[in-house]
Amino acid sequence: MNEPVIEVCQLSCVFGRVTAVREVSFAVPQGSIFALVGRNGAGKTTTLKSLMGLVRPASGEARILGLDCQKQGYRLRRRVGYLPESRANYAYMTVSEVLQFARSLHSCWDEDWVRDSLSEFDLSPGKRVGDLSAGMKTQLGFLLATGHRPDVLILDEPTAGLDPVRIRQLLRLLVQKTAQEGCTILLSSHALHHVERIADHVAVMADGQIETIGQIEDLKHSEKRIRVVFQVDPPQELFERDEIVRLQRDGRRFLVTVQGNPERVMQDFRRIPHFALDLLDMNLEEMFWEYTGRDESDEV
Amino acid sequence: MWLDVNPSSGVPLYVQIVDQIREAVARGVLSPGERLPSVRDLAHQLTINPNTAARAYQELEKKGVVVTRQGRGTFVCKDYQPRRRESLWEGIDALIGQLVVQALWAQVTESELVERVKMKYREVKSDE
Repeated sequence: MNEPVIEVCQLSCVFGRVTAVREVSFAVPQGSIFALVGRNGAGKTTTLKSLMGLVRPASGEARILGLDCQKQGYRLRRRVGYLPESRANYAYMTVSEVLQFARSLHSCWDEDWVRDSLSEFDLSPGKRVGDLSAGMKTQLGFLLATGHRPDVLILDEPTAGLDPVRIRQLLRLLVQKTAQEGCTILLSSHALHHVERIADHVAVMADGQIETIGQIEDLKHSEKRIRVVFQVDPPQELFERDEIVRLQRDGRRFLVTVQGNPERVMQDFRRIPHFALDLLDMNLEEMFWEYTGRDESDEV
Repeated sequence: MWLDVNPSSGVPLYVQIVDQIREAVARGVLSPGERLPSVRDLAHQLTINPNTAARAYQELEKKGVVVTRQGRGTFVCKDYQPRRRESLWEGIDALIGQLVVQALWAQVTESELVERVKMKYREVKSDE
C-alpha cells in the first residue's frame, strides 16, 4: 500500500499541569483524507499545531513527507498548506492584499486556482479582512493554505462558519485536490456529518487520546446495534458476553451495541419470543457519541 | 445523476453505491454495455472520497455487475443476471424464523402452523 505521508508517533503535549495530547499515534496514507474528530478541547488543534511546529511536544515525534515537524518547519511549509484554528489575522488588509502578501512568501503560486476559487467563493478582493464574516474568513484561510499547491493540507475545522451550500462547495474542492492532484489531507472537525462524506480515514479523539481509529467504512462495519423487544423477561445471562459493549434497557425493550460479528448474539435473541428484532447499522455519529461519552442514563 | 448517497447512514457509502447500481441494472435503468462515470467523475458528482468510489467499482466488478477495461472505462456487464429471487427470500426467511419461535413458545405444532400459513396465504391472495 501507500507510504504514509504524515506519521505521528507517541505524541504528547503538556501545558503546565494539563496534558492536552496523550501518546497519540496515527499515520495518513498518500492521497487520503483523514478526519480527526472530537469535541472541543479533545486535543485536535494541539495535535495539528504540533504538526506545524507551533507547539513543542513533551515527547514523541511527528513527520510529514519524511521531514521532522519540529526541526524542519521551513522546508515543510513549502509543501504543506495549513488552515489555522484562528482566522483573525491581518484584519486591516484587504482580501487581495493578504493574497498578494501570501504569494510573495512562496516561490510557486497557483494564480488560476486562487482566482477561480475567489470568484466561486464570492469573496470580493477589495473587502477588508476584518469585515468578512466567519465563513468568508474560513474561505480566505483555505485559499491561503492552498495557493502554493501544497502536497499536504492540514485544515483545522475547515467547515467552521460555513452554511450548508458553502460546506458542500468546500468538500468538493477537497475531493478535487485529492482526485486530481493526489493531495493528502488531514482535517479536524467536531461536526462529523460534515466530513464523513469525503473522509476515508477517521480518528476519534477524547481527552487528548485517540479512542478509535480506522478506515471509515470498516468502522461502520465493526459495530452494530441490535434492537429487540422481548415478549418475556429475558434471562440476565443472555447479555453476559464479550461482544456486547453496551446495553440500554427500557422495560423489555433493549438496544444492544455489539462489536464484531453480531450473528451469534442475534441467534440467541431469536430463541426467545420477541415482538421485534432488528440489526441496525450504526452510523458514525452514533459511534462518535459512544466514544466521546454520552450520558449513561440514556434510554432507548 | 440518479445515484443518491446518504453519508450519515450506517451503511457504508461504497455499499450504498453498489446496491443502487445493482438495482439500476436489475430494473433496466442501466443497460448492459452502458458506460459508467469514471471514478474521478463519480467522486466529484457525489462529493465523496475517490477511494470510496473506486472501492464501489471494485466490489461491483467482483460481483460480476461491471467490467473495467483499462484506459476505456467501466461498463455494465453484457451477461449480468441479477439474482432477484435470492434477495427476496432474505427478508421472508427472517420473518419465518420469528414466526416459528413464537409458534414453539405457544406450543403450536408444526402441522397446525403450516395449516395456518396456508389459510392466510389463500385469504390474502383472494383479497387481491
